[in-house]
Amino acid sequence: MNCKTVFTIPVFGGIAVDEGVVVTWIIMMVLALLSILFVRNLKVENPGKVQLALESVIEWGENFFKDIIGEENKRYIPWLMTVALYLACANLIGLFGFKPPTKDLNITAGLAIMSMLLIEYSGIHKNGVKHWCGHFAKPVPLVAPIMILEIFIRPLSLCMRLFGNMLGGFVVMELVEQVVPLFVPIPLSFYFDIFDGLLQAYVFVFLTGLFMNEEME
Amino acid sequence: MTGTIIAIGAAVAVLTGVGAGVGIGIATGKAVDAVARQPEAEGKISKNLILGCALAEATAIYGFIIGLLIIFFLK
Amino acid sequence: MLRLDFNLVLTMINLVVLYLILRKFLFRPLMNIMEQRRTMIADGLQHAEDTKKEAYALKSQYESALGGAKEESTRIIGQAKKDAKAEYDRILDEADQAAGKLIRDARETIDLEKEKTLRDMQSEVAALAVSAAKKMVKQQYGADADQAAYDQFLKEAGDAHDDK
Repeated sequence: MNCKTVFTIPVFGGIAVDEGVVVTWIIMMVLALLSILFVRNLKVENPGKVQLALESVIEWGENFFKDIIGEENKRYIPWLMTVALYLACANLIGLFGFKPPTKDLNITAGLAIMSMLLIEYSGIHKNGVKHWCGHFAKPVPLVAPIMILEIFIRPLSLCMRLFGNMLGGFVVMELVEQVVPLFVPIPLSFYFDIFDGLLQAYVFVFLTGLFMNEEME
Repeated sequence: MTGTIIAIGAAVAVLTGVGAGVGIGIATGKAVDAVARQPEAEGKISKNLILGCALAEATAIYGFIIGLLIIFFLK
Repeated sequence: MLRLDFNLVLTMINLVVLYLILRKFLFRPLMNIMEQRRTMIADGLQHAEDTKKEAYALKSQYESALGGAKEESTRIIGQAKKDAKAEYDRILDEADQAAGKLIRDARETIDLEKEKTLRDMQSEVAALAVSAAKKMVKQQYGADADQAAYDQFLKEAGDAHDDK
């Protein structure tokens, strides 16, 4: 259940690299290889089957995020889709015998901090620093502390939701596997690994998009 | 003895899940009602349902985290 | 599991690197292709629309040209008719005038002829009268002779008139 340290980088007195990060590297490698492999020989006319499938997936994601953050902010869509893709892979990798990296607090915290940066950046980029500073005092200046706290509460909630869900699922699966190692874990795995994993990935990017939209108003 | 008390404390923390369960149950029931009434709005309803469930579930997750913290840091 | 350390920074770096990789190899090419296709389709539709519009414009142009031609022909025919009428009138007028002039000339000629004849006759009559007077002066001797001369004069003048 604890995250094992895979190896230590011998700088700054030894940096312990956890399992989750290594699994993340594996996921990154696989995703990069797959995209290099499949995204080739793109054609405008008469696309192949692979290209059609990829395009429909990308288009679906594009439309999904456009619905949330709006047509005019589509520059953030690749980032959100990257996060969604990574989270889906990370949550599903439990099926291949790896430990899902998202059950590590470091990973989810990193994701949530990136989300926080993106949320605030999108607000500043859209409305300017002045408006961004001013929007804490709306509707009354009294709520300013709560609004400032919200900056940190939102990523904390994102981080803890993902982490708690994945860890809970992982723990339940481990316990079931210890009790009944045969057949019983299969339907449970469908729920905890596939359904819950995909749902949490969806919720994470959905909420990030929603917060961004809120910030950009 | 302390172990038992810690375990009881963790169990109490995890009781927050009750609220989340009730909340998600009510939300899902209402969503089903809404879909039955307006089947054409199913996409929007399910989107909002998932959002609401994610937010309601957060309390249960917080309880779970607190339980973990109690177990791991009060040893 | 429940600790935050340097792995957090590693995760953030990982995410950014993954984002860059995927953007370079997955999103950009695919989105470019999709954008290209979209513009291509839009262009095609635009082109079709343009062609249609052009065809319509040509059609209306032809129609108006046809209508113009018809009008033109009508106009030309009308003009020709008018011209022909004018010419006809003119010719008729001329003929009228010529005929009138001919008749007038003929009348004048006739009148002149008549006058001339009359004048001839008068001179003849005068001559006759002179000759008759001469005869009368020559034969002053008897009423019978007078009578005979008078008769003869009448006879001669009547004959002269009868001849005419």
